[in-house]
Formats: sequence, C-alpha cells, structure tokens
Amino acid sequence: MFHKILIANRGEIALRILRTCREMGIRTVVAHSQADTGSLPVRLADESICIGPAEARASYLNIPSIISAASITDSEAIHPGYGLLSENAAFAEICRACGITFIGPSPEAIRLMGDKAQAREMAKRIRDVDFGLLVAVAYMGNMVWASGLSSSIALASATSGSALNIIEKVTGRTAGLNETIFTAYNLVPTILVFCLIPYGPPPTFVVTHTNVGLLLILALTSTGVYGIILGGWASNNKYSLMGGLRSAAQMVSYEVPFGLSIVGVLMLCGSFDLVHIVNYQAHHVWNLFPQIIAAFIFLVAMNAENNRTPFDLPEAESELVAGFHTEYSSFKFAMFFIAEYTSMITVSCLCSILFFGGWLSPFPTSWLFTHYLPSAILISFGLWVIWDGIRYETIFGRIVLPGLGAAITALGVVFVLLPNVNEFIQGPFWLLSKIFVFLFVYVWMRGTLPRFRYDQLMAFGWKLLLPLSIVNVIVTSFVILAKMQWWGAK
Amino acid sequence: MTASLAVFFAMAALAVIGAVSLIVQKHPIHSALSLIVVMIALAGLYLLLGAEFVAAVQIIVYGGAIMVLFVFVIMLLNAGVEEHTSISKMAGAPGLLLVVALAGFVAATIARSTESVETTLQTGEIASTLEISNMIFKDFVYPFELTSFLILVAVLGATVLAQREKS
Repeated sequence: MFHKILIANRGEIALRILRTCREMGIRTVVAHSQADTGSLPVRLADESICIGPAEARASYLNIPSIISAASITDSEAIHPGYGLLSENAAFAEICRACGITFIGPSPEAIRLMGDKAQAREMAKRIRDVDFGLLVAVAYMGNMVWASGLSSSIALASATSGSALNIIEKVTGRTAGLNETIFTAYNLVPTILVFCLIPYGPPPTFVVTHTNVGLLLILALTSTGVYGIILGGWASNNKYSLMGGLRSAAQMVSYEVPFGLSIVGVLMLCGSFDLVHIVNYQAHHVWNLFPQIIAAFIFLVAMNAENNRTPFDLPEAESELVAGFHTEYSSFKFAMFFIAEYTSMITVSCLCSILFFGGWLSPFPTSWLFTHYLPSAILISFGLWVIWDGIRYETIFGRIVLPGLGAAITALGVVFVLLPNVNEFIQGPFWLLSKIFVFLFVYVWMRGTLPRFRYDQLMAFGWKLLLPLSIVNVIVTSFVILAKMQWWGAK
Repeated sequence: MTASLAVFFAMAALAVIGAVSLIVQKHPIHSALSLIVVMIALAGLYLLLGAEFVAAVQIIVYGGAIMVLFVFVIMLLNAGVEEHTSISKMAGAPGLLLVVALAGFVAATIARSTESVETTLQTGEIASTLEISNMIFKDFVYPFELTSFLILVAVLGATVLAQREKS
C-alpha cells in the first residue's frame, strides 16, 4: 500500500477519504484552495498544501498545481474523491506519466465508460457475448423490456452460485446491536401481509379469511417502519440516524391520512373484511367513483409509506449520503430494498382491493370475450419472447429464451382450450393486472416528480391531506345518512 | 383447546420475558424494543380471546405509533447506556412486600374464580367490531367523548408548553 497520498477534493468527500486513510495507517496531504484554508479536512490532515485561489478551476481542477503539489509533498498517489477530477481521463493519464498512482479507474476505462454514447456503443458490441448482455441491457434504450427479462434470468443464474458469499459479506461495526436482525426483520411484516390478501373469489383464493383483515394489514404495515428506524440507528452514523428519524416522522405523519382515507370505504362497505369489500364493489360501482378523493389520498399516502419518490426523504442522497442504508452493503442493503419493493406490491394489492374492485374485471360480465384477455396477453408475450430470444447468438438466447417463450405461449393456449381453467384464473389475473398498473404508477411518479423538501413533505401531509381526508369522511357520512333518511336505501 | 392453551402460554411467556427484559436491559433502545415485544404478545393474547379488533388496534396504536414515537425520542436524545446505581434498601423492602402482596392477590383471585382458563378462552363473541362501536357510540358515548376532550386538553397543553417563549 501507499505511505502517503494526496487528497484532491474538499469537504465531506475529503473527510471520508481522510478517515479511511487514518484507519489504514496512510499519511494524508490535503490539497486545498485559499477559501478552504480553515476547513475541517485541512485541519485534520497530516499535511496540507494550498494549490490556488478559491475558484475551483484555478485550484481543484488545475491539473499542473495538483501534480506539483503531489511531487512537492512526496505523495505516492492522488485520490480525487468523486466529482472534480475523478472522471478526467487526461488527468489520470498525466498522473501515470508522472509516476503517481491515480486512485480510480484507468484512463482507458474512463474514456470507455465515462461517455454515455461511447459506453452504449461498447454495450452494443458486447451484447452477444454471453453475460456481457447483463451490462448491455441498461444501455439499450427501448429494448430494455425483453432483454431486461432475459437479463434478470441470466443474472439470477449467474449469482445463485455466489449468493452465499454476498449474504456473508459483512459491513462495519455498529452501536452494539446486530444489524442483521433489523435488515431481516424488514421483510417479516410485509411478507405476512400476503397471507391476508384475497387473490380471487373465495374460498379458493382466500388464504386467511378474517373479519378484520384490513385492520390486521394496517397493523402489520405500521410495524414495518422499525427495520428502517433501527437500521439507521444501529449504523452509528449521523446521516443514517437522520434517515431513520425522517422515516419514523414520515411514517407517523402519513399513516393518519392513510388510515382516514380508508374510513370512507369502510363506511360504504360496512366491514373490515377484504372479501366483503370486493363483493360490495361487485354489486355497486368500484369504490373509486364514490371515494375519488380518498383514492387520491390513499395513492399519495401509500407512496409516502413506502418511502418512494417524491417521498424518499429518508434516503435523500443530496443531503444524507444515502440516509438509513448508508452503512449497509451487499445483501443487507438488498434486504432493505427487497422489503421496500415487496411492500410496494402489498400496498398495491390493498389499493386495488379497496378502490379498484380487487379481483373483479373492469368490463361488464356480459362481455364474454374479455375472458380471453389473459390468454391473448400470454400468447402474444410468449411469441415476443421467442422472437426476441432467437436474435441473440448465444445458447441462452437460442435455447433458454425461446423455451421460456414457448412455455408462456402454451400456458395461454391451455387457458383458451380449457374454459374451466380460464374461469378459474380470471380473478387473480385482474388483481395482478391492477397491481402492475400501480407498480407502473410508482415508477412513473419516480421518474416525473422531484423530491419534496422536508418541510413541504410535512406541510403536505398535515395541512392538505389530513384536512382533506377528514372532510371526505364527513361528507361520506352525510351522504350515507341522507340516503338512509330520504331514499330509504339500506 | 389444547392448541390454544399452548399458544396462550407461549404468548404469556413472551410477554413476561419481554417485560423482564424491559427492566433489565441497560440501553434505552433495547428496553423500548422489549416493550414492543410485550405489546405484540398482548395483541396475540387478545386474538386468542377472539378480540380481533382490539388486537389489531393494539398493534396499530401501541406497536406501530406510540412505540415508534418512543424510539424516535430516544434516538433524538441520543440516550446512551444507563448508569446503574445500587438499589436503595429503603425501596427494596417495601417493593418486595408489594410483590408478595400482588402475587398473593392474583393467586387468590385465580383460586376463587369458578371459571377455568379454558372457559375464559371461549368468551370470544363480545368483542366484535360492531359490538365495540355500539358500546362506544351508543351506551358509553358521553364518557367516551369526555375522554376525547381530556386528550384534546392534554394535546393543547403540550403544544402550549412546547411553544417557544416569546421574549
């Protein structure tokens, strides 16, 4: 290793490098501009050297002064941190020419991958080389769809061998609590919700039929936040702690409109039983129409409950590095996000059951041809997978993908040929389609809306959603009362 | 019935272990976590009694909201490991006496009651959601509303106390 390195960065980034160097027993030199003379990294470093005036172009981006600073101080390597010169291929090349190690990728790699257009070209070239595909798909623009499917299968098979290694990887020490417990805990409440959801008409598709199903689901989701809070706290890191605290505050704030938006539905249907709620919608209209405001509040609050953009303040990378999961890597990080994505699915289930008719078809029952929609979708998707697969010149593309496509197509054909089976899968099919729509909305919102500021988040929850949901409850109860009084409806 | 008895004893043991751990733990967060275990074990007991609504509300309110705030506050104060002082003898003697008295009282009540544990387990139906709302909003509507006012007053009081003083 090195004995002494030059840090060509400032602020938080320089501090992080400094800390690591101190732990590894490497001497540090901080190159700083005149404006940063009294800054924390300069004070904490073993040595410091001024490389120019405040303007970044004259100091931190000034290659000759950084190189000469390194040679004056006898530094063996330069750490550029990130930003500034860290992706500058010319700088990396000059370092190499001067015999100073550039801590970062080689100039060739920077040239190749630093430029998106060039990286895309390279990705296209390696697309057909076996697992090169994995890297390639992300750069394929509109081709992500089918290749995304193939890549996830390839990724799964490629990683399953090393999965244990990934799980075993350990992160740094914590405040004395075993963080594995929190990261594993994350998944428990979310997965338990799955056994309370009716996937189709009873009794076949109802795993657990209880008359307070909705309440139990709320109970489980409300305890889901501990994983994030305690995970953030156990990191022994201020940013993580703040991420955890934000998550707690956000969860408590948005649980109120979340719960109140459900009250309208409960009053209409008169039961906590999810099966009953869907059956009610079968005889009336979907709750979406009488409860349009509640549905809106629910959609917003479910985004907030899952910490999804624009409500992802707990992991706001512009303020908190990565919030609650800063200190977690590999599988522990994955556990947080598997839990987040699983709970996106469970909340989408809940939303479709409460407001969008659950397993009911959106078409009138007299439209018999709509019963063949699942088959139509499966067959066209299967054919497309075959067509997409044979374009790749690999064994994977030639055999695995077409095989998969053929299986999907065959499933579609089976549904057409066996009317009993076709009727059987109608319920789950429609629930699943609705879940996909909601998942699409999640990603759509993530791509469209910028993140809230923290005070905006709180104001939005408490000053807009809460009053709105209370008004909705009051109006709904008056309408129900009026119906009972004047129209004699039940 | 034996199955539900087994669940009862498991839940009861969990609640007792959680409660003991709540006192014994040195770190406030560990104590708070133990309290959550107690809450959830109690919810399990309510479920066993057929009080599904109460069980769910127990988890939503105590497990999900109140304890989140507890943990939140402990984390905000950044409370570290507690200092343990030797227990004062003055508190020890009456404490022991009270424990014995309480245990005797509970034992006496159990011994005198004619219902066995198994019959208690069967009285489930009274706690349905409909019954509870009928009781709260019809039979006991005035006490219920009075309690709401009490909580409202407490909330207002807390807000006033927490307000920054105007110079």
